[in-house]
Amino acid sequence: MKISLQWLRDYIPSLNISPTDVAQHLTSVGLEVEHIETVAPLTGKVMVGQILTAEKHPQADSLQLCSVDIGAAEPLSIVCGAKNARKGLKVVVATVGSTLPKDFKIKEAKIRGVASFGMLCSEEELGLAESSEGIIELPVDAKIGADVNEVLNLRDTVLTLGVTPNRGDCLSVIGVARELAAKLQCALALPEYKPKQLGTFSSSDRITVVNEAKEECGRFAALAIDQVATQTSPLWLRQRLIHSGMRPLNLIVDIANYVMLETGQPIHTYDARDLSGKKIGVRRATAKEPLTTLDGQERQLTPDDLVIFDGKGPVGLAGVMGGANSEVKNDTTSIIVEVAHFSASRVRKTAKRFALHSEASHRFERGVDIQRVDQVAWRVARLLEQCQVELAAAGVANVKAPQIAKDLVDVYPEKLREHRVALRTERLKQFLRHTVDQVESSNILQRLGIECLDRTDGRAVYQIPSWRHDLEREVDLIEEIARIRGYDKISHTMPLMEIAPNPEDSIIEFTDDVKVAAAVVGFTEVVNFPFMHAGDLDHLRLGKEHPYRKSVRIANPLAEQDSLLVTSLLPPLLKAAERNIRVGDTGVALFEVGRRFLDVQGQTPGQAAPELAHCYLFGRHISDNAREDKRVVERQIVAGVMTSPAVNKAWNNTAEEATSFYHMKATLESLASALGITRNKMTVHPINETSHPWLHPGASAMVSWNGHHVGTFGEIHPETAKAYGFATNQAPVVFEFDLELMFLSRTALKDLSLTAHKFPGSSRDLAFIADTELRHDQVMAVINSFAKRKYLSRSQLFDIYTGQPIAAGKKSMAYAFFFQSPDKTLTDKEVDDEFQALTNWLKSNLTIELRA
Amino acid sequence: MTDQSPLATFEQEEQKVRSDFNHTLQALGQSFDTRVVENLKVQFLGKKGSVTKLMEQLRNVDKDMRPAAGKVVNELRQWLDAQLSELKQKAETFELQQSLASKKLDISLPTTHMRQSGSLHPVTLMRRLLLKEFRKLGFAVWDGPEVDLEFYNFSALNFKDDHPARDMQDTFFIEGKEQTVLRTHTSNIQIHAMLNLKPPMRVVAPGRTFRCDSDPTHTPMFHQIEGFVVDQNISMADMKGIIDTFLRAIYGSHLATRLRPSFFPFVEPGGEVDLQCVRCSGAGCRLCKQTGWLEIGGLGMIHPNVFEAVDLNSENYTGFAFGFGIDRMAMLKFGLDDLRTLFEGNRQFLSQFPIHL
Repeated sequence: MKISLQWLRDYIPSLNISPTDVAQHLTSVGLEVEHIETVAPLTGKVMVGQILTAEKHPQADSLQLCSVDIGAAEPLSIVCGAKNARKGLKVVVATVGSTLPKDFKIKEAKIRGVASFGMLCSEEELGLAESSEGIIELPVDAKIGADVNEVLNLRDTVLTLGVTPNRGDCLSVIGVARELAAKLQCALALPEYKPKQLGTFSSSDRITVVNEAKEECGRFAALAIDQVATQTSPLWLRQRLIHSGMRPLNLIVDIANYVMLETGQPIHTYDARDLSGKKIGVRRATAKEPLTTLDGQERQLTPDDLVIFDGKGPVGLAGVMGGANSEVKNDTTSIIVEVAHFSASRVRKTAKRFALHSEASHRFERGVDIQRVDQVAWRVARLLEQCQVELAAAGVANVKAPQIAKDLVDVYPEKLREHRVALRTERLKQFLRHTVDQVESSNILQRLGIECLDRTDGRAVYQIPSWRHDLEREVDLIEEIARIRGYDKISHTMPLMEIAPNPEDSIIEFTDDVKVAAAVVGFTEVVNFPFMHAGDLDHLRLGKEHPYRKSVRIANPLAEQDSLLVTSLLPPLLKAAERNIRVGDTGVALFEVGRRFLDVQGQTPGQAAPELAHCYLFGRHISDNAREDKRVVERQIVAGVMTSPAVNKAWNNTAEEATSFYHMKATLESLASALGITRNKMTVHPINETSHPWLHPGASAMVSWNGHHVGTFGEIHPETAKAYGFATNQAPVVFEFDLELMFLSRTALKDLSLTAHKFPGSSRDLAFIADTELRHDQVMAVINSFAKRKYLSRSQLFDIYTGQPIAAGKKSMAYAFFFQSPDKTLTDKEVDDEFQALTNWLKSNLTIELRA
Repeated sequence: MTDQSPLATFEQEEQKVRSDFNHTLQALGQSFDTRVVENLKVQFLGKKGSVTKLMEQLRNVDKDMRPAAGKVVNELRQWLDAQLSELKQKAETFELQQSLASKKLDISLPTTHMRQSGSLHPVTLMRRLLLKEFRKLGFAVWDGPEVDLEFYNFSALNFKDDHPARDMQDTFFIEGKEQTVLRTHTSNIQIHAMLNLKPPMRVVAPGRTFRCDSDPTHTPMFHQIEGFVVDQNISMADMKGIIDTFLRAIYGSHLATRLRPSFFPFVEPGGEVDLQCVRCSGAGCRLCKQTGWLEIGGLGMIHPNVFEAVDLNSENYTGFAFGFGIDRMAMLKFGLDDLRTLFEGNRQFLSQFPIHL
């Protein structure tokens, strides 16, 4: 909210600190000043002058040649076209060298052959009005040569405040002034609201008020005023509206806005002629009832909306915006002023549905003061009276003092119940760790309008003022005292607490360990938004029943492409990798830790493949078991992508190598190893194409740690690669592991081998010919089942060969076996015996033929 | 058979061998390799070498003189051994120098290592830093759901139905699920944790949060860290102490912090904490919009309505809660000025960050 410091000073006459200090104090009580702007519209030498003589221009009938005294040795000669320029008039003179708004530079000029040294200004030329007639006529007592900014009181400072939604009362100059005065311990001088002169008629002579929605309209007051002026408002009033961010229109509308800004209470004014049947009221709208609001929009109402109506139908959306059919016009002479109190949530619903966020709805939603509705209505009349008298005195034609009804029609069926809150000195001390005695606290609260009703030892009862809807409990009073005293007065201590062991957060620590390991093995961590769209599910080639199809949809997404929560981290990762490639990066390796979201409410794995069963289970560390049945399943995932090349062409004859399944496998082995999963504890298995259709069926694998499934990796399917914009020969390699499965499959300390070998071992090589279909893991399975194993400690495949002289359909495989004992150095015989036994075991369990 | 020669002749021969050796040595100079020394050894001590020849002449020496002559030969042999071993050492030194001088790499050539280490995201680095500091202060770390019921995200946190306070956080709603939202803050974890723990409690919970907002300074997903302390006698002074301690640990003790009143429905008294500008140290610059201060998080004393929502007696317990933006803290720490670059996944930008701070 924008607030004029000049206006604020009206209510704190003793305020004599700088704008920066004002801002600091407001911020310190919780009204954060976001911006300070100094307003002084006129720069350069724009000063008060007096016309000494005004003669007709020798060459032009419509121009006058004026001699103007600006307090200098010689009067200035200025050509002027305004009709009201006349001898003796005090005027605004823009002298040569000054710049007016819209970058209008005043220079010495020849006008129709006569030299002119400056300009006599109108409001329009000074940027004070959008249009104006004639030059400004300054008061007779204006001092010649004085700065016009001062004479017209144009200098001001505008503060932009961030008012929190609990403080509707501070959406007003008075509310802000009250806070500042309380902080500075200054007196608060509130404006007079009773008009000086009341008419003889009653408002009820002009209008009947009907309240058909008492639940939602707690009070409705109407005041009739005759003989109103709809001319341009006085300059000071227009300036304050502009500084508050509003556009001046005419006196009636301007005053309604001004009083709203002053008090925080929205006001609506009607042309009395337009209120059919001399009736005004409030009710719920009927279905599809039409209303054209002041902004010219025709709107279809619903029974959820509260409307103001007259004898014919709706004339306004209560608390949100008036109707076009009853607005004040140039020829309006009689008005009805409406000051009412509408339900915050009703106004909020209507404003939200029509996306119609007005100054009025903003205030009603945050709560206005029902007790002062009558005062506000009178204040409108009082200010109208003041302005019409002022305009009449300034000689504005056809303006007289208004005729104000002698009373209000005030429908206020149920008076606001008093709200009282008790404050214990001991409780206050507990919060502030400092004793504030009852005298000091009641003084502070009193300055905020919170009266102490009763005070006993250690406990005081306070009356909450009608404008403070936010003060409900004792802690609210504690905050009032803390913030007015200043949060800076509170000391710094450290809590004195019992030391208690923390609940386990090891999976959270493990997640961090995984991130570090992934970074160490070469991946750059990225953070993507967990959004995708239905097309991504097709890109992943998911079958209809695949659990990843059970995605969660956002009801109000920012864009359709971000409307689903991810069920796989791969779509955002593939998009990120592709973006990097598009800007020329190569060999990109990215990883992310995030969640997948699955809407499997009440469903069980059922027929799903075992490797997808965890998709139906809540992550243990994420869920607290409460209301689980209604929840979306969230699983913490780590996923990564690698693009080609894995190895760059280099000066030492290294050839470029495309990133393959095996590069990813090696990387994941390193990652696993960093987390305690040594190579023999990580095993791979062929994927199930139905459960992982986005992977290349011949170049991908499921991974187990210590025999438990943790995730999958491999080249992405050519169709998926194409869908994400990768060239055919550039299919990236990806992995996706479930963090909780990883956590649960870690190597237990008891499974570690405790032998540290101290005696040398020896190795033997074995080469054999087998069918090309024979897989390494089949060989390894036979080796691992070797029952006579005594010294064999590791086996390594070191060669695979096909081609001459090996027959077609056959291949040669060569393994190195390493034998070692923890107790002794083995003899050649011991090694040879076990190697022979192993060779026999392989021959009897595999279809192989030993090579010479 | 010829007459046997006298010892003197033999000694002359022996002297000749010595002087031959010395001549050869002089001719060698300083630069010779081990092969030269080997040749010398053959020449003087080998099967057909000078010493062997001398030995053969021993027969010509008078019988009674033979022991003396033998001694002469032995001494000669020992002398030559010593000389040759010294020469061998010299030769080895020369060879080492030769070999060192012959290898001169272009150390500026690029490596051909398969893949360099990657990096952690700045938000992760900040998160790890925060957790490290809070664990030092005895805080436990919690996690919670990102898709949650409005009860945990709003109602239990004293956000009244249909109150403009809910507008402070533009909420993503889940389609087809009643009262389900993407959490707008990590404060939902406060409720989950309080329902599962008993006082005294010291908990922090970092995580992703969501609001339907997207402009240069807002992204639909961002990161917060929530924290709270609950016990029988926790005060605002304790809150100031903890916040000040952790901010100093992260940004250094030269920057002051400032607490000012503000509003969040789940705390009362509530406030916001400002850190003296990391760029200008409070003098005023573009980053802090000339105020000298940077808004860094919200906090306050836990509202009694929140305690009541989780069945804790608000008369017996007090506590404070706080929430900080991890992204903003990371940007300030690392001097980044564009929030969006954090979430664009640009490898070249992100890979500049280290794994360990």
